[in-house]
Amino acid sequence: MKNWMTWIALLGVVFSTSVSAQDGAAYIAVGKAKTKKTVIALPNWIAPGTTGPVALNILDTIKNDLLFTDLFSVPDSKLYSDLSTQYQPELFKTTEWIPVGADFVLKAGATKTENGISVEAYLYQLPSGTNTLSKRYVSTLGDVKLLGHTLADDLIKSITGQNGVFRTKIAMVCDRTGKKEIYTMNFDGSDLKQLTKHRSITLSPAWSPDGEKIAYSLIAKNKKNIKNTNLYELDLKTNMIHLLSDRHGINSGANYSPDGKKIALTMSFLGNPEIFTLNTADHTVTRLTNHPGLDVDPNWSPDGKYLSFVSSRHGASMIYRMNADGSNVQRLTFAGSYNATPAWSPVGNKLAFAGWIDGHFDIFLMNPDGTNIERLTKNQGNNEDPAFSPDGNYIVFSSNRAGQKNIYAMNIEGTFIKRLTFGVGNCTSPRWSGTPSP
Amino acid sequence: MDTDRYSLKSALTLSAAIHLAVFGFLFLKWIFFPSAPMTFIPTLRVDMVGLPDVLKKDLSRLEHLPLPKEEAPALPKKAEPKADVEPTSSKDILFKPKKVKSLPSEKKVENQMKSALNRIKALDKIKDDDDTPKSTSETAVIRGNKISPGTSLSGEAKEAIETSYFEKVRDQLLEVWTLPPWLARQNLEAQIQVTINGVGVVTGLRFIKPSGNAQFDEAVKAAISQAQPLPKPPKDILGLVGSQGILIGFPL
Repeated sequence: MKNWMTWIALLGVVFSTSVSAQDGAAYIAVGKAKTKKTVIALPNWIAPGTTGPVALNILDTIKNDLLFTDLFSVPDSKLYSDLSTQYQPELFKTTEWIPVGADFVLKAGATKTENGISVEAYLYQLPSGTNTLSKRYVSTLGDVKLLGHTLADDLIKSITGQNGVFRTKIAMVCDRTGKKEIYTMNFDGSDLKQLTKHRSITLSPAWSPDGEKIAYSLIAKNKKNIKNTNLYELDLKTNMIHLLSDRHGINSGANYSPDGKKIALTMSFLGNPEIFTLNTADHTVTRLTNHPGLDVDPNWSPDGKYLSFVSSRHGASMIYRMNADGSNVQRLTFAGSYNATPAWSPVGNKLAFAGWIDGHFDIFLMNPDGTNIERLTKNQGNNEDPAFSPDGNYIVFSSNRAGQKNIYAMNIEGTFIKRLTFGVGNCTSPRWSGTPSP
Repeated sequence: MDTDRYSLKSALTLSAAIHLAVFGFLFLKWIFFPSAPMTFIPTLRVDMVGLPDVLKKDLSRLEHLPLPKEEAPALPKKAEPKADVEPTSSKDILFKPKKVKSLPSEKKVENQMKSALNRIKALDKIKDDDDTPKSTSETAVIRGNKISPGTSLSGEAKEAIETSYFEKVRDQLLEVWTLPPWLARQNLEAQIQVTINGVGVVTGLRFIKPSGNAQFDEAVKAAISQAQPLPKPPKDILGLVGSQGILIGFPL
């Protein structure tokens, strides 16, 4: 009897002291970290004979890709010009690279093949000297830029764990020819291509999730010679254009669902503009909204469970959110007089939109529940139609800050911005493609 | 007798059972619903000040100043009985003039001033709290009397020592706490517990709440490594930081 009572008393002491000890622990909150770009050294490759200029071309492509982002700095190659250029893993001398102060070193060698070029690339992390990437790339001489972009994407993946954007494209509407047509360009504004020649007014391009199709709207006259806004789909592989919907009125603002099986869009064939989904297989439509106010600009959440859209149901045009079946409509914005074109980050944690303020449009970010609104542009003309990059780190938008409307890319903090279009007329409605399959 | 023993036994058993239940509840609460750790908030300590500060140069001037002469207040005149007033009855209240205290003499006032000045000089010898170097005799300040901070290490004094130390640790960590931009954008959080020895070296580190991202956790470890040696813990909290440790949140 006495023994077990003693044990109970001891256990009680132990429990109570352990609880009180943990509850009394001192706590320090360090605060927000400073950000520091990753330093990556890019020494010259071993490339004998005629492969030398080609290797330099690829290395320049990689360097430009990395510097396009706000993530990296590349030290002057003079700092390590006298260091060993041998690239095999067993020949990497960590001690000679540490004084350079880099976080990573990319070493590679290029050799000529029967059809083109072969590149062996190795990425080393300092100060440990760990080999984090070892890969061989082969391409024709005509595709060396693509080889460079592919290697740059692999570097991003190896260092950050995220997919790179260097092989992605941006679709947009430009009026270089005097008419509004659909164009595409690389992520950095290079390789501009005109995709349509309707000699009319095209609107609102949208990429399919696989990147093989672009849906867009076209104002054209129907069989009764009445202007109508029809929805089309361009197959980039076959270059064929298919009609998706020519229902009376508006068929515009298309946005593919993450699984590619549906397209959300605005249609007005039943009266005023409402949000519908269109089945990509059989082109049947399902109505999602039913309100006297205007409902436009639908945009899918990355998990496909929600849609953001713009509605004037309470007066001013504001951003709303609803379930994918049209239920549970929630208003997200209450500030401002006109908010439009919401775009959901592929990462899922932010919504971008254009808001009317101080007499022009500016780009804003907010949480998916409408909280924490941040302004990204200010006092630089009209800034409209934002769209996220597939990694969620950048936003493309249209701006007339230089006079004509051009496409710009900026990071999501709004601190780093690049103009992408030059001399293509007025460009609007930029849309960033997804990451290509490996 | 047997009945008494039986009652005592029952009471003890019941008491033990209740205690066990309470302790068990607290233990389970600690496991499944831990209370938030005490948040470290820097505090201010304000000392009370009595007499105003006096400059040394003014002190010497004060000693030679002629003391102000105070005019003695006029004594109220004695009320003289009127000739034609009839003798009052015993029931009337008689007016009695107040007794006026005699004023202190000039010499007494001078002595009081001198003793006050001597007290100021004596307080001047008490060392100040701060590290400001002693100024020249022309500009030296004789501090007003202050409440001594004391030497006790309980209550506010102990909290002040802990506060000051934790501030230094946080400042040192913040100097070296860096992240690449793509990690900073992900809004990750981690909490660690570290123990620190008498020379500021971290003797133990464990993740109470990992961020879920290996690179972020490595950045946290790198910050702890690069910040060392941390400030030496004061003797009075050496036991606390050496055994129980400190919880550190990155960023919160």
